[in-house]
Amino acid sequence: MPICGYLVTPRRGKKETLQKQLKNLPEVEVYPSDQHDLLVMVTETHSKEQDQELEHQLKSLHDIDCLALTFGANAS
Amino acid sequence: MIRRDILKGMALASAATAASALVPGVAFAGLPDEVNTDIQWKKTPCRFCGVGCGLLVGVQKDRAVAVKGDPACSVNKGLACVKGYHSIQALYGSDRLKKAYVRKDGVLVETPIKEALDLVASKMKETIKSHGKDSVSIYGSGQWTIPDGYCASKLFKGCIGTNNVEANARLCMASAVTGFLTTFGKDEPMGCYEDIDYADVFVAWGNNMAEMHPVLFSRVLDRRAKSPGVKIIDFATRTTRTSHAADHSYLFKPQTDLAVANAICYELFKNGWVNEDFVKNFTVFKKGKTDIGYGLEDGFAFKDKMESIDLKAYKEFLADYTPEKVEVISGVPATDIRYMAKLFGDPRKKVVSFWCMGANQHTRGTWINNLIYNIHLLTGKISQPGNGPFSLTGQPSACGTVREVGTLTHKLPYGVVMKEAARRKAAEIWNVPYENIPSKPTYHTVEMFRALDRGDIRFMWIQVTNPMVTMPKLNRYRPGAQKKDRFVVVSDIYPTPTTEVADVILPSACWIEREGMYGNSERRTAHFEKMLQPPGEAMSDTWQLIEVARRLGYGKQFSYTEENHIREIYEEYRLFHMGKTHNMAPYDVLRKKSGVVWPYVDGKSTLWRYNSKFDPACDSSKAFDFYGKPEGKAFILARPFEDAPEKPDAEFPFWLNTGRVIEHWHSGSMTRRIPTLHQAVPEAYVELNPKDAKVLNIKNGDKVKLVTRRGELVVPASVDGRGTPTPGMVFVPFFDENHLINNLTLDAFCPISKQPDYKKCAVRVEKA
Repeated sequence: MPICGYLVTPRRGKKETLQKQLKNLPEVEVYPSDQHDLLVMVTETHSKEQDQELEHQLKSLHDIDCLALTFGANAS
Repeated sequence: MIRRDILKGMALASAATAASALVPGVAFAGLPDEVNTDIQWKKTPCRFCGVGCGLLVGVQKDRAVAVKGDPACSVNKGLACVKGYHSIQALYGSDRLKKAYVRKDGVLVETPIKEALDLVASKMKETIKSHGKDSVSIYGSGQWTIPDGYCASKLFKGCIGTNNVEANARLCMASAVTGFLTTFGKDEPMGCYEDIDYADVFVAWGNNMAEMHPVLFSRVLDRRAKSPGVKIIDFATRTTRTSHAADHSYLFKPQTDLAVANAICYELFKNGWVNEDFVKNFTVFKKGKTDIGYGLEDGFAFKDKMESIDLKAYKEFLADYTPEKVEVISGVPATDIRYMAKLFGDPRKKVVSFWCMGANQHTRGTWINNLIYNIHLLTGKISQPGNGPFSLTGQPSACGTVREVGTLTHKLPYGVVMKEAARRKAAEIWNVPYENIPSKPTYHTVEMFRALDRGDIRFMWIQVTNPMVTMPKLNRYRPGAQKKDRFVVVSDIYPTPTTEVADVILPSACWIEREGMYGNSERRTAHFEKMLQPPGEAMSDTWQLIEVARRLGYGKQFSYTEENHIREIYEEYRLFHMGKTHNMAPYDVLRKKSGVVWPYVDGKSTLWRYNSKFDPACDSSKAFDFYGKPEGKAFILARPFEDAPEKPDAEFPFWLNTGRVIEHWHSGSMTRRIPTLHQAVPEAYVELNPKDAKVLNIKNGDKVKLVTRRGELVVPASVDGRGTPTPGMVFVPFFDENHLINNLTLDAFCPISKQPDYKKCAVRVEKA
């Protein structure tokens, strides 16, 4: 099932909040930049349903300004 | 690595690469090392000052290539100062010492290090045989790692049997130690840097934090920016960058901080701002000796004697320090003294005092430390988040190594040599006969160099410090070290004025070229691993000591293994501090974290000592317990104003003040080899007040001749530069070995702490 890499730009001033929200998603690993308002994120899902649910959850996060997919692979 | 892990690594690497394209230089410290290209990021405390910032050093192919602040370190939260960001360049100066040198017929000759270590050991044996064990000595540093200092103390005090162990921290924070011990009975600040996040008022006592502790000062500025109403008070003898950033800057005449501190206490009583419950329950009043001298003569001895006094006697003592009387002494307007007292006295305001060399390098250094504590004790503003007196340090392990390991003549890793129980404990842990450890201290630093000059000391091993730049009155101590029949060993990483007087030079591994630990100003012990191979035959100071100890026949006591010796030494050292008042974190915990604050009890750091809400060592039936003193009561000490030993007069009409600049670290042996920092401030200068410069017809850049009773120096003038002394004072930084201001300074010291005063002597100023 898919493993994806993303570059995430949070809304102004929301980096830490967004980081916490993303960390709460079990399929997500997130790493903040030390000095800029950027995050890198990797997602790993194990079923189509889980993948769709994650997509839905990410779309519902209002603190994301821009989400850029940089990598995708099927690991199964 | 399984396929999924590889794919996840690729996913992260692709996102990080995209970020780099968007924002060049962007860093993601938390990313796994294998993702962050081939640079390995490793944690370490900074090599420079005592703030103890956590750094991440990027290592690529056995070379340190990048530095960034460690966001996981609560000290600096990802920040670093200009020295921190450039720190790794100090490893790569072109004249790095890679081989040992031995002086033969007056010339230093390259020698295999094993042969040099053989010579060091044989010379020590020969000197002890001819002149006794108190003729050999070691002089180390607040840059010694904890294992370095521990091995030095164990070898000299435990095995050889001499208390001739000192460190340069005597020159920078000994007054803080004696201040803490006389007031609280325990050394080191009770609070932590988190105090900054809660305080409403910051008072910098003779402390140019903006240049000397820039990362901490940025936290202070951040606190003020986020919390309107927060005030920064600069109380100093010279206008600095700290003054410019402060809400109020009050300038006092040198030495008169003693009088102003007492005047603040006077005002606290007068206005009913004393926290009577706190004073009644947790303090007692005492006085010590007065008219205590200045240590200018060889063999000067002083022992203080405490006497109990009552509140009435203490108030009578303060009657001499009304703001109006002190205005005459100090030059600080009475209204400003009252304003400072009001800030301390306002029960709604939390106050942190910071100080460093201004208070400590002072012939009454212990007293001014005591007086700052008095203010905090009288108002009960101590040992609580946002309330506390906080003495800062200047070296990365002045606290960790010199104060905690106890690398001073009177100290042991736990307790003092004068106490039988402390000697017995050390003898047991060190596996040496109890009788080995002498019960009397020998020479403090100034007296140690006097003893070398006189010939009472014949052998001195100097590690990680540069006393031929930093000792006061160098015109006496440099020739003293060069006398016939003196043998000086210097362990360092670069040639310095101190290696110039050496008979043997041992090349040292620097900082992350070996494993070690430092301890910072807030009782934080931080570990760093060996990240790089040291150049040539360079060897850690710890291992140099072990090699010599074994050659002296102490293999049993120094049986540490080469691969694990730092762990073994640290865990042995930790035995000294077991218990709730000073327990240190285990080695494995230090390896994982960006520093751990002691006391570390039941897996948790104690952030505010003496407060039973936070400190498990307290008697829980009391709100506060100053357990270093009888009945848990701190001493409020009546300490008077006494003048400096040498004041301006007709022949030498100016005060000479010395200190540091942000770009250079201490004697400059590292930072002067970092091109950016060197070019920023390439040489020393003399700061003059514009009024004085006008009278003397001196313009910026003119050559100025400074003359004291001890020597003279020509340096360029700085008028209206980054610092401005008060009229009648000049200031010279001491980092420049080509302009040795310490040829001119006075070796007077605080009789209690034995710390010299580099801030006050009389000088004549002439246009050269």
